[in-house]
Amino acid sequence: MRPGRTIYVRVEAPASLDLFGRADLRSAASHLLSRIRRHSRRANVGIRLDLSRVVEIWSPTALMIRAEIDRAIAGTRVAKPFLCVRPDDDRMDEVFAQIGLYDSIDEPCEVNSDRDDVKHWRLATGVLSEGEQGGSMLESYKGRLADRLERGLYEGIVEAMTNTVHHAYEGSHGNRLRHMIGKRWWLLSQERDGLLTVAICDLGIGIAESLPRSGTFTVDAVRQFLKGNGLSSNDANAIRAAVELGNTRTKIAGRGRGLHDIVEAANLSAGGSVMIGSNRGVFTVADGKSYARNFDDSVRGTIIWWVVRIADNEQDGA
Amino acid sequence: MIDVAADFTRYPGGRFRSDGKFSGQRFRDDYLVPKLREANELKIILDGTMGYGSSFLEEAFGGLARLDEFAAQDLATRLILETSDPSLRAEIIEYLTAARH
Repeated sequence: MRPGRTIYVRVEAPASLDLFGRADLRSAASHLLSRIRRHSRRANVGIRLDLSRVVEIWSPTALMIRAEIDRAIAGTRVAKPFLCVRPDDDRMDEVFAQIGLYDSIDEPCEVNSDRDDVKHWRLATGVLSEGEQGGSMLESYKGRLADRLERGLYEGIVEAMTNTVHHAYEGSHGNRLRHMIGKRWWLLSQERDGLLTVAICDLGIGIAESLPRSGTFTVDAVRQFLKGNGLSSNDANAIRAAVELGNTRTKIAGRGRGLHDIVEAANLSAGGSVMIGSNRGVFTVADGKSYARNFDDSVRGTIIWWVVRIADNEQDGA
Repeated sequence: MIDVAADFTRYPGGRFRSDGKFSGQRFRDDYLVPKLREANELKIILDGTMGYGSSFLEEAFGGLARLDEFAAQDLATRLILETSDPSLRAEIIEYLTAARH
């Protein structure tokens, strides 16, 4: 190989892209993220991203893939870091176009979707805790979300942005992860079948590592919470600690309320839910109940997503 | 009087100035503090924005109570909080109170 010549490694996406459902699908999707991450750090190596087999994708997973690709592009010195084999499935092709993936990898694309379950995907990214991007995204559903729910989602989004900017990329580990991308978050909304999904993610150190250093709760408070509830120290239980300590200890001078605002938004919608995924852990709150789960592999970051009911859009006839 | 949506932003943001343009710290230092220097009572119209994250509120109002300039115990009466959301008023009072302890 001549110096500077780019060789392309084929990275194939599985047919189903779902990081937070079945364990086998999680493993395949996280392997995709891992390969993108690993190969993008190699000198003179580009990635031939093969999406041809993809037939289904969940919006939180789409968001994390887009985030990982953005970081790969920011960190590489390869002039054309990605080549792409687009999905055989037209709907999937339109989804990737809709979330700006082709634009980000400089793949020519003229696809514009008219499908109701595709055209409502919206994506934004930033490095500050500024509400306008999240607010204007929510305003596009004006009149279809109850006022209190719209406000709750906005407050959850802004707190998630603030957590990212303050805590997600802290320390020497966080410093490496944010190289070339800053303290970046990615935000996506999707509407389908009367449900609105709003997801926000970062590629930082994860809640288990950031919680003790955030100062929001003391290390002792977290340790006592886990011990008092007979919980082992793992990613899912770290999320649980951040949620439940935030619910019960709101009067903390100079500090926020942990993940309290983030969970609160889901409680404002009948049948609403919030899922928080961080590294190996997932913590879900739905119908007043919570569930914690750990997977074998890590998504290397944190994602929060809300699912709430939304009124029909008469203009779309949906 | 401060009408947050009209005078500041419809999109309140994070805690510190470094978080972005419409932070709680900026709202406190550039809006609340100067107005409180001018008048004994300050009406704040909170409706009309998209919402307020707890970091914004804690820094703006909890931070106000932590300043030496104002008698913290008086702030709950000097600030006239106008909002259609009682839980928002309660949260702000909580931050004003907690910051004094």
